[in-house]
Amino acid sequence: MKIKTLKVVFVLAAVFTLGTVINCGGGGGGSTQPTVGFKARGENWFFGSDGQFHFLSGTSVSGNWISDTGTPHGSTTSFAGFTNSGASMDIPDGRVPANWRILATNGACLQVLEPSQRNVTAGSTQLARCVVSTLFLTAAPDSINLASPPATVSIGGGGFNATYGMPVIEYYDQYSGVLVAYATASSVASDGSSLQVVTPDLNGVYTGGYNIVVSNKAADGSNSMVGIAAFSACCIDPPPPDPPPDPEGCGQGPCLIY
Amino acid sequence: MSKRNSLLGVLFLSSALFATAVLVFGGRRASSQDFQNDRADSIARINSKAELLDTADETVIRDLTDEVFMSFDADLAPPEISDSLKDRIVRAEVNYRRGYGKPVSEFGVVRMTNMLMKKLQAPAYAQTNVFEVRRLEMNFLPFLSKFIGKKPVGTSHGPKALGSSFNPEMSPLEAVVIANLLIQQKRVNPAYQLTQDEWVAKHYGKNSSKHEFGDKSRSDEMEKAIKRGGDLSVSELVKLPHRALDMLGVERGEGRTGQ
Repeated sequence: MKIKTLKVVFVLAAVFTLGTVINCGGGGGGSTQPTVGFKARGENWFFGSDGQFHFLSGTSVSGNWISDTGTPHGSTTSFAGFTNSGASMDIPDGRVPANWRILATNGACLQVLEPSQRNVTAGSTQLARCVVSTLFLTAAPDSINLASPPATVSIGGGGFNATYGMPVIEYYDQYSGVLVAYATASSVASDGSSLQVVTPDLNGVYTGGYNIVVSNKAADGSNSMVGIAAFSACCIDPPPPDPPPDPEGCGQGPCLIY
Repeated sequence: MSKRNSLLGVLFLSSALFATAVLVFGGRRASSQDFQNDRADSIARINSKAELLDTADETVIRDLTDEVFMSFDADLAPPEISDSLKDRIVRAEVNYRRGYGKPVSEFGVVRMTNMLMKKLQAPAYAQTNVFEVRRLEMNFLPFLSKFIGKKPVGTSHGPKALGSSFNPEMSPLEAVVIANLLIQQKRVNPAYQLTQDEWVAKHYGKNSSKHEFGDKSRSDEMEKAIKRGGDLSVSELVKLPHRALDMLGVERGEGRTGQ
């Protein structure tokens, strides 16, 4: 009897818990269409070394009502708040339908991905994405012809230090994250703002995107990564890309490569 | 059956959902009250606290773990529950940094993510692979250079060989952060909502993927999968949080850490 009762309670509790979770997402639960209020979310994104946008974090978001676009409901005409990653803030009495100006307001937007002025309807979620800067290192040149690679590459961006040895430069395939070449810096600017590296043997490098990872040598001999620069190589057609290794076969054992 | 027992049942089941905190509870904190405290970007806060991780100092590790839990909303689970998981991660991190514990393989991140996505019956593009994990890490390096880019003394395997991975081994806490970042991208970022075949076609092939950056359809599908919750049974729910950390490769240990 007790076990049966316990099972029932667990099942009910599971349903209750999941139900609560689902309803937290907003929009679920009730079948009536809201006539007032909306949600807003601020997000920081960045442009990666691979040329793709990446979601970084939640951020602050604010909005101001501009004008009605229909019979208005709600009296809130401005809001400001911080939304954690993926979260939306409720503006339960937000005036709709209306034109609003809604922006991610972290003060560091290089670019916004949605127009700030938008038509807001009841129950909608207004996303304001901000592209923030990324402190990637820069490689010069940043594109090379594999048939005639440059003798040296200059990497800028700062933070380089030769106190415990010349910084290590590693070249990674952007697709697989595999090391394809490496070298040590031949010189470092006295203020640490740039370094020079002799182009290593690039056999096995094909047309595509690569990342240069720069690491300083630490006192204990270990490497401490400083940053990453992107470069592209051409013009040797790559073979078909390798499939990713099966994680089930390569968990902790022999497939683990260093 | 007393009210107290019913409540305990709910709490227990809530705890089971911890492992999917980023997927399910995740992202539910939003308020104007947090405005002042949370202004700094959560990744910047993690990186800043990781800079202090020079030793196996449990206080520093716990502080960073608290920050990670808060950043990914894992602290929204009941404290009795999140504390036990936090303890496990802190213990594993302390042991790793003292040279007793195992590192976490990058494949652990793949296994944990794929397990959770499978449990949620998420679409095929929600699955990941080790190449995608490495791409994520490389892109986040400028933001997490004090964490990803800084290995504890004594864990270096010497110079890398050609063909080596970018970051084959992580500390337990580092792996938790990477896994959470990856799951976030899977939720909202079209660049990560591609199957391996689609990714290859988009970047190498002649067929450009139809799924472009501005397309929110897959993000919407992901949200639906999360809200649906897969077909998780009660027993699965109960086992899920620690199972997820098992899959990640975070060691189980006995007792609390010595703080």
